[in-house]
Amino acid sequence: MLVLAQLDSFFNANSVAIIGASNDKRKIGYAILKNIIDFGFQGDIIPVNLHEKEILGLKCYPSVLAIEKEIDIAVFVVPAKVCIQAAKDCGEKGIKNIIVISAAFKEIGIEGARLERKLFDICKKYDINVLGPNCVGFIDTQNKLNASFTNVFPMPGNIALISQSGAIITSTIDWSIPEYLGFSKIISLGNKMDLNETDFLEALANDPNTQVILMYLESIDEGENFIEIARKVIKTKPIVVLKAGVSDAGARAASSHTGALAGSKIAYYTAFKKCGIIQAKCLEDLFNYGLVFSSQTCYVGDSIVIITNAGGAGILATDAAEELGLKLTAFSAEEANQFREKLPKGAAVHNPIDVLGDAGADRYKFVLDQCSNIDAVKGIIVLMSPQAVTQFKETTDAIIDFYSRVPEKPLIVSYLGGVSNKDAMNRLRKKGIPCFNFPQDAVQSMAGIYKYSCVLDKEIEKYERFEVDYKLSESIFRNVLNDNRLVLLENEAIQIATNYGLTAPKTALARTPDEAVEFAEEMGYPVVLKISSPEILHKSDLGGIILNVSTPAEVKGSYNAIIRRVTKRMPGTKIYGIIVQKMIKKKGKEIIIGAHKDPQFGHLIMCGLGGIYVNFLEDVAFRLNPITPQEAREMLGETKVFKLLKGVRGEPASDIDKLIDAILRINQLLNDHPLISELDINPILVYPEKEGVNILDMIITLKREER
Amino acid sequence: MKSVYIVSYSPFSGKTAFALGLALCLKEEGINVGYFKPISVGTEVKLGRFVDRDVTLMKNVLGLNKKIAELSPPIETRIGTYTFGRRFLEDRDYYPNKIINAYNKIKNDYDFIIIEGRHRIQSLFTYELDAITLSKALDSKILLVSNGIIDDVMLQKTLIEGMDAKLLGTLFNNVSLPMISKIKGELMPLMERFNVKFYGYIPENIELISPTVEEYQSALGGQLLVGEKYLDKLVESAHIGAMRTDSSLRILNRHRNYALITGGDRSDLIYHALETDLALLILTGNFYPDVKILIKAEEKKVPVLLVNHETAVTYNICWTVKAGLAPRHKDKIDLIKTLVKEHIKWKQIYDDV
Repeated sequence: MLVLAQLDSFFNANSVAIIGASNDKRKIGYAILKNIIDFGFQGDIIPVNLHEKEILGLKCYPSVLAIEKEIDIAVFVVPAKVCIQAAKDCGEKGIKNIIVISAAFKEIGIEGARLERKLFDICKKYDINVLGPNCVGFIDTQNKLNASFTNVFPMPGNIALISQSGAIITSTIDWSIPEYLGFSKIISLGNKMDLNETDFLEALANDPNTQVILMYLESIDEGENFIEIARKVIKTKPIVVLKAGVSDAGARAASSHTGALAGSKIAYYTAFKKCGIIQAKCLEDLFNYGLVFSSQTCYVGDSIVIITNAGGAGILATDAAEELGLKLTAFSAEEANQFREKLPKGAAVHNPIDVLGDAGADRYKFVLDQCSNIDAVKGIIVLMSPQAVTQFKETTDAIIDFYSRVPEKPLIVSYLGGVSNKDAMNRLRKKGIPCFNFPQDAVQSMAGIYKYSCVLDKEIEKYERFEVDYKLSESIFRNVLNDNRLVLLENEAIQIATNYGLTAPKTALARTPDEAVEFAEEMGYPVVLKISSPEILHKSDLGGIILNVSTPAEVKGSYNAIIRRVTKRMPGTKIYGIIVQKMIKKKGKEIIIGAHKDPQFGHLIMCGLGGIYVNFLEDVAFRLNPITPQEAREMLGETKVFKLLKGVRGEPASDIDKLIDAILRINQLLNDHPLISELDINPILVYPEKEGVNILDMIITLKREER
Repeated sequence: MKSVYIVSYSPFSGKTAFALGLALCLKEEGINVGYFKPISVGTEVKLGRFVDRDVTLMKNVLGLNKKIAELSPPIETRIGTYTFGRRFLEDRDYYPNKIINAYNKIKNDYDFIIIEGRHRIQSLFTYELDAITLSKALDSKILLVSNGIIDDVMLQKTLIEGMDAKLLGTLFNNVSLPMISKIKGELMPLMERFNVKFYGYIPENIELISPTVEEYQSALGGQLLVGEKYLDKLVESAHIGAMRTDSSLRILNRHRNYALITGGDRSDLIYHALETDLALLILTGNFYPDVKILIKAEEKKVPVLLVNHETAVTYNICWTVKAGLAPRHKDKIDLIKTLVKEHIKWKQIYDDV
């Protein structure tokens, strides 16, 4: 909360000191000060420079300690090494917010990283919030504070932009001017030494001037905290993220760009999905979404109407709509007849509505007005291609008029072409009506609105909790770590599973052939014998599994045979004994339930087609822990094997409820024990309905606490 | 004065560690313990002379007020075997006499002397300087430090008794968990049947058998890019990272305190490996890494060693790195004493000799 409270003075600053302000026009220290003055900041602007008396007509101070007034924000534009003393001075002065524009910190190497650490320690000593270092700065269009070195000023608006790349910020501002795109806040994160995307996300939730938050991110720090905050913020305003570094090569580039740890693509996508964040695939997407969310109402419903004067454009938009999960409103006969009344005979009155190539503004106006009266229509896309008789000006007037009268229905326009439509497009944009050159962009933006409306509409389901003996599982994990292992033996893993209410065959670890016989007799034949070694990943590859062992003599023989084979093929392997397991002969569908602890976001749960082909077919889906029953069902529903589980070609349906129950129990296990780094149940056999599930193999790997 | 001659069938069986633990336990009881190594091995050069690391360790830790040469007269160097051979041909009694004289000079200064044999029981057998022959010359009983292979123990017993020397008994060192039930259920009754006195077993202890980062650096050479503060960190195993990141991680996730051997250009793999239980990052082929890796490694307290060798050669060298013991390893020395105290019938050894 301290960070949030201090960010309030960041967003509502009354005084700014520029440490390293300069009279030299070639220097950033000059550009920053000039930007602050020229952008019209109404508070106190105080340059600080040991060697200057006055800069740009303002009295210059040798140090912040020499300033009598209180300072809300200090902007550092001094060499990296000088930042250390400057931060100490700010701390003594009681300044709580610093923007470090200065570079040459961790982005340049190990010495820079050490310097950054030193700066961080000083700032924390004095409870100072730091934006940067190595950033472009911060712009607040409401407070008219431009503490950045951008060469043009952004227009005021209701879009907040948080970016990990300074170049993206400067380019965006440059691009936004002719697009009539306005911003509330622009934040350049730089090296994220202290303040990061989550801090600003939380702060922007309470910013009345921001309607939509756009983020360009190469990495996310404190992933689990990010999810928690984003899930809250998303209920008040949409968040659109462009995550760079999702390809393998991209991840490497991101790693070497701003010192970011680029996490796995799946983890990021799953995290964004969990929060309801809209994911942009490219910069154009990011700003298209920004445009629509900044002006359009978020409706509830997937039913839209497409109005076009060109069949081809209509078809393209229809295809895109279907692909993106939007439906075209099906008109009743009465509604269709109403359209027919004023449209030419050749016009298509079913969705998409084709008003024909010779359409003037009146036809568009008529159809728009009709649509406003049809409840089922939740959003409208207007397409217009340039024809000899096309009335761009008049039609634009009609659209603007409609938009002012019917603001509750999202309206997105696509004027195809490039020359004839230019003025009309600009007029629409000035009025805050999104207008694109291509139909697909219009549809995609509409789909974004729909997706967000679903997020708003979605009730947060409760997590299910099962009765388990937490202390038992905790003691098993502790014993494993005390034995200098990270991998549980199979008998230990099965013990964990049964403690969490999962069904698994009887399993025991035998250390001698005689002990193996004892266990087999207790369980009843036939049994399976498996090598028990935490070092062996694929037991069957080494001849470490013998199935269907049916007599005491076979047990002894198999015990010795497995030990012989494994020690021959993998000499020096640490062998704990042989696992004796009751053989399961009942057939079921082979499913995998897995989990992996992502460094940023925590446990990523996976389920899908199991068995030996899991790595080849990759028919799996992911969610981030914790998951609700609904999320578990949705995850399973995303796999192809789900269709098989429902029953095909006369086969009975499988016990999907029990499988979901198993996923939720694993979900709780992961939640209870953060030290689990990996978990693999492959396969879990799913029997026909009401007959349950059975775990055949389970691996749990732990991670020690940070040393 | 009592003495015991500690020998083993194979090198790196833990003779020195056990000898140290035994000595410290006895010292605590007020027994004046000495140490003698009839033929030492020149493992390092100090002041222009080869010295045996084991001898300097015992001298320092036990506080023995003797010169190194008094505790261990002849030094074998790399060319030593040739010297022993030539001497043997010229005067077969030269070295035995030298050893006996040295031993006689110190033996009355102690209540109990621990005599430590060379790598193997049979070493220098050709020149009549093997442990069995010398144990007779020094009138000492032999204590076998074994890794638990019963055949080795029985072969040595036969050899010792066949040469009219005296076997005190045996103990097992570095015993793995699965082996313990075998010792209790099978090997102990067998040894009793064959009249081999068993003094206990010391369980495997990862802190004792794992080399440090410094020991890896010493073996591999190269430049330590970050992590000079963590040279004492233990490295339990070494693995090559050459596969795809996800495949590699499935394996690497399973290991504790491991060293990853890979090229400096494998940023993708290294970034993820730094999130696992990585103890040392060895970058091969002199391939300098992305500086961001060094920053992250420093944050994660993982030393980064840049070596000239290619990956396969590096891996082979890593296999040869063994955990050493030096006087400054206070924690290790305390641990050894505790393990001997808890798992070995050390008082009985003293009583039985």
